[in-house]
Amino acid sequence: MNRLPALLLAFFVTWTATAQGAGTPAGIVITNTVLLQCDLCGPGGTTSNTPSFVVDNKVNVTVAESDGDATPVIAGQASAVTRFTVTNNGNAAQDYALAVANVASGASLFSGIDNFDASACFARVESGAVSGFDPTDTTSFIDELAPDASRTVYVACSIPAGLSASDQAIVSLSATTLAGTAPGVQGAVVMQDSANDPATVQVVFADIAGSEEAARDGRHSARDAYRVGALLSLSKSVINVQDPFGCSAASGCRIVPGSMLTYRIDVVASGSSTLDGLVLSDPLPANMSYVAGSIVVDGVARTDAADADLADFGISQPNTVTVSPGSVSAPLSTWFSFRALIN
Amino acid sequence: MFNHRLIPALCTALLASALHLNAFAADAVEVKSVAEQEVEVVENGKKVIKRVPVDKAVPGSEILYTTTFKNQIDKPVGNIAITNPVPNDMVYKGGSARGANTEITFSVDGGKQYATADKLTVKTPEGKTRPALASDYTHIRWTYKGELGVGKSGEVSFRAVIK
Repeated sequence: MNRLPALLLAFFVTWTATAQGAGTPAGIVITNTVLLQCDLCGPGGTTSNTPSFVVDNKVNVTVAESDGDATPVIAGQASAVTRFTVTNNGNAAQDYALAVANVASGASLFSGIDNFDASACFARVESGAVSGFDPTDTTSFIDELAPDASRTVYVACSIPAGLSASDQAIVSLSATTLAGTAPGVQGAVVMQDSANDPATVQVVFADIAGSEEAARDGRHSARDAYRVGALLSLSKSVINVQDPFGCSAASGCRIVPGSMLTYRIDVVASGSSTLDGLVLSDPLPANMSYVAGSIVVDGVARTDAADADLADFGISQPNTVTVSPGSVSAPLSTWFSFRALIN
Repeated sequence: MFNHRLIPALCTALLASALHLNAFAADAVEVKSVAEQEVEVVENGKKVIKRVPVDKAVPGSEILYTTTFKNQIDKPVGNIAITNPVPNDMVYKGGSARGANTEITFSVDGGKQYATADKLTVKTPEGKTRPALASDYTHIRWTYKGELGVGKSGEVSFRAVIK
């Protein structure tokens, strides 16, 4: 006669659960065995048969835009780069094919309407060697992305000439799930299995609808935008050196303690839109002293005080030459200069 | 004088006890387990839920496990307890255990102790006590009330979700 142990009312155990986002890996076999005990059963009871099945390959991928806003560009820009993230939300490693397309005119994104097409677009996967889009990023498909892992993908396009401020091009990046195969080898497109075999790992599509296609098709997509704005470039140079011991034919004008340098900063805004609230600042390095009253903007001398001439030293920011043109309309070029002594 | 009638009687007695031993060694209750999924099909223009062998098994899939048991001997069988560990890589679906004429209890400590769902607790990593969740269960047990009559069968079931 088998007597079951007395039931306790409450008891304690520490339980640590490790959650896996993508879930149980494909290929794991799940079995079930039942034990039946009874008064006339042999010692140890009776064990049932063991139904078992294998966990299938859940295919789920998501593409997301990375920057949260339109990428500013100028008309005629040779290479305009924007970023996406591709994530494997399935339970097996996969490759992904990448495709870039221009979205039709009239679509909206980031409070702008599409009215031109970017040209010669292509996608490249971040190699991990150097951050940002650079010549080490040569691969055009995602290779062996593990479950729950992500890769950064850059989309690079050329921007046509003859555009106006706020013109916008919307582009889409689509990722299509491929078989994992081996590193460096681009796998074939995965297809969903129709026949059922509980003992074989089969493909099940579980993706949601993306910006360009439907749910449960092994693909996902997202959009990003290029918006025409202004490009600001700054260059700084030393345009004059006063040697405290006098410049000489032999050694020129030396840069030594006591030398007075004149710095010039050139500002070029290209493109065709307005830059609001523009502030230019140049902090002095620790080993230099500003020469009072030496700020010149666009050829006109300015005071060091923070006044209507929109330039000052040390008031807007400590130990810094600050020039605040405010609103400027690109295209334009401007410059400012000042003098400083090497301590 | 050897009584040759005694020998057959002895043989019969020995044979009978041997048969009795065999009857005890054979399963008094046969137990079978089945794993299924529910799919919605359209029959005669109506949507119907059907049970099919496990088809697509991916993380998140719900599996229905059914255990049937049948009395195979010539006596009623009592003290029947059916114990089902929650299968590997699965989570028990709270409230899904069924079994006519059974008391259902669960274990959270690997099958050492069992209690009804409302009485189960676990310790948190901080050392506090909280009520056990379905995701804490390691085993399910159905305790059959009374006896299972000659030739009678019963059925218990539960659902679990693939992690």
